[in-house]
Amino acid sequence: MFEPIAGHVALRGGGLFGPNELRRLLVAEFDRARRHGFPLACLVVGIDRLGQLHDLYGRESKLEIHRSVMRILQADRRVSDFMAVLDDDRLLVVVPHAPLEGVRSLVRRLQRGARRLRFEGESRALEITLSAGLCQGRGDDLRGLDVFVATTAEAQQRASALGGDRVVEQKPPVPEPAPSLAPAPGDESLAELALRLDASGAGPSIVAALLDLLSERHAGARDTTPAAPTAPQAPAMVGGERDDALEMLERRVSKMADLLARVERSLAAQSERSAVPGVAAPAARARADTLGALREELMGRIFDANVALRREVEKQRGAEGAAG
Amino acid sequence: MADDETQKDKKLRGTGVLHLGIDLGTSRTSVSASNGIRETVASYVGYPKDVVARKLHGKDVLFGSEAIEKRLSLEFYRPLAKGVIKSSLDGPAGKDDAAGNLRAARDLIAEIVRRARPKPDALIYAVIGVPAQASVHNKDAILEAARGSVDSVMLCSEPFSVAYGLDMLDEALVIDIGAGTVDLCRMRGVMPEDADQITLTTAGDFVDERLTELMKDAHPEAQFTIHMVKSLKEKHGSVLERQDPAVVELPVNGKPTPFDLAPLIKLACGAIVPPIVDGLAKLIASFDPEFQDRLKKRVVLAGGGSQIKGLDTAIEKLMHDRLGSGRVIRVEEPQYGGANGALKIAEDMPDEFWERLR
Repeated sequence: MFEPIAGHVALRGGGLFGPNELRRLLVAEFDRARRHGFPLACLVVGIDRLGQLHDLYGRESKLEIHRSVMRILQADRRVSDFMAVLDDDRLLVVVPHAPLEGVRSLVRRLQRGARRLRFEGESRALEITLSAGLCQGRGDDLRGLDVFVATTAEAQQRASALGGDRVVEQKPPVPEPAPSLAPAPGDESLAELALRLDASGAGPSIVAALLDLLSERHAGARDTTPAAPTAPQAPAMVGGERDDALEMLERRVSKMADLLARVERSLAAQSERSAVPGVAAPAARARADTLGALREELMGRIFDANVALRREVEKQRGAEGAAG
Repeated sequence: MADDETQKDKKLRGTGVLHLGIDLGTSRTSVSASNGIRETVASYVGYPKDVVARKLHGKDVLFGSEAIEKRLSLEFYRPLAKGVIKSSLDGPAGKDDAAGNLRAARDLIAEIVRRARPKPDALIYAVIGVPAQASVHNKDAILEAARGSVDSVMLCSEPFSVAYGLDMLDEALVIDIGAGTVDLCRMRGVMPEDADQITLTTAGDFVDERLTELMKDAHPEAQFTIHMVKSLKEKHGSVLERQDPAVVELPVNGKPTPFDLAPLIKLACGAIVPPIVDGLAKLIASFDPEFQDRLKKRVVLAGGGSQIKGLDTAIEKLMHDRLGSGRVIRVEEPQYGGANGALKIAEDMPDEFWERLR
């Protein structure tokens, strides 16, 4: 879906994102929306009969129409919305943090703007209309970026197939039910560790981080489940999705390594502290004893040196007095 | 009697004791106090020459930069040399106005104690850092000078107090570069003995003298004083391979004339590096061979002289050439390294020891 398509370069002069930038932005935007729980809408906009217009009036006319539509889109969108070339004649608009009614209103404005466009094609004026597919979701709806976009694109196709100049709204793909919260194999050691740490009085931040990690692992399990049946054309794990999954796994591994280091530090600190109230751990006690004893000895030596100095001074004075 | 003891205990255990760490330096005297105050004053003292000067300045004694500024109308003293009070030095330097220098030293200590703002009824216990190899006579002069200002005083080797302040009590070499002396001290987990300490006189004053000679040779037409040389060294002091021009204006026949002194400053500052590495080599070579490498890796550079740019790298480089390896760490607060360490010693010292030395 995000592979570079010949001819898009000509359209990108209007400030549109290319496929690579689009993927990067989409991943970030979907992650952000999921993390913060705000709604995110995808809009796929197609210009009706653009293929035929191309055949009838040539490539230049087609590009001119396309650019005009893009100008409307760019004028109507908010700064936080972004758009890109999806495939040959369709545009993708991502609208984060907007209510569904707001997105509908945006589509209506776009359609009105497109209808006002006038192109002279040989003997008659051409009327431009838009078909749009709209899909809005939040939270878990936004897992599986490619499926989400594919669902929106499918809605646009349906709008176009129904005669164009309309919007088809599609519900976001329903994720598979979450697996049981019981620890999966391999999670047991972490869960037990969390419980043990909790019982032993380890810092609440570590326990919280562990539980957070465990819950994320379960969520991750949901994320890697096959795509929902509402998007039958979407492949289960295409290149981009695989990259997504790999990236997520890498993040998870790095988080686990960090957590393990913290657990190790915490355990080391605990072993230093007293297991029995009032009794110092042997290593810490030995070290503190050594340092304390060293300081004590040094203070004693400084004091002795000062006492000896005074004695020596008195002796010298006595000798000088006797000589005088 | 019982009431007296209770009062005394209260004074000792409560807020009635102010601990001071004093770095009585040839160039600057610094104090760190247990009430959080840290002060430093240039080690210069001046007394108005006559009643007119007394009336002009409005005080009987002036200290630090104020004294330097108004020195023409003052009996002007720099009471310390080579890290000790001049009156205690052997030879002509010690005999020249010994009483005046001792008085100036006494007033300087009183001033630095006053700047620590002790409460009127507080007991003042002070640890004063002295050069590693100061003589009994030198130390006695410092004790004498301090006695009038504090209730109890102890002396401690200056580089040791730096190491103590940094908690580097084991396997470390401390270089404390002052104006009068460079003190080297080997820390090995016990109280340093004479064999663990070396005092060099190739310190800040030596650099000033060397720079003065070089400037006289290179620019005989320029007029300058030792104070001017000292301040330009403090501003531009560097031993970096690549250094910025150090353009200073010096009068020539009364007209300010610019001179780029960077090469001369580098030459003068670089002159202290070989004696320091010689001293380090002696302390390392006489240490247990199994632990020599560890010593080389913990060389601590402290004191006002450590602020010369690139000095740590220059010492490291020469250590690599002469000793095979070396790692030099600069202390964060060169000005207060000695005073902070002395304060730590003062605070760690049991009260009974202080009492016995009163």
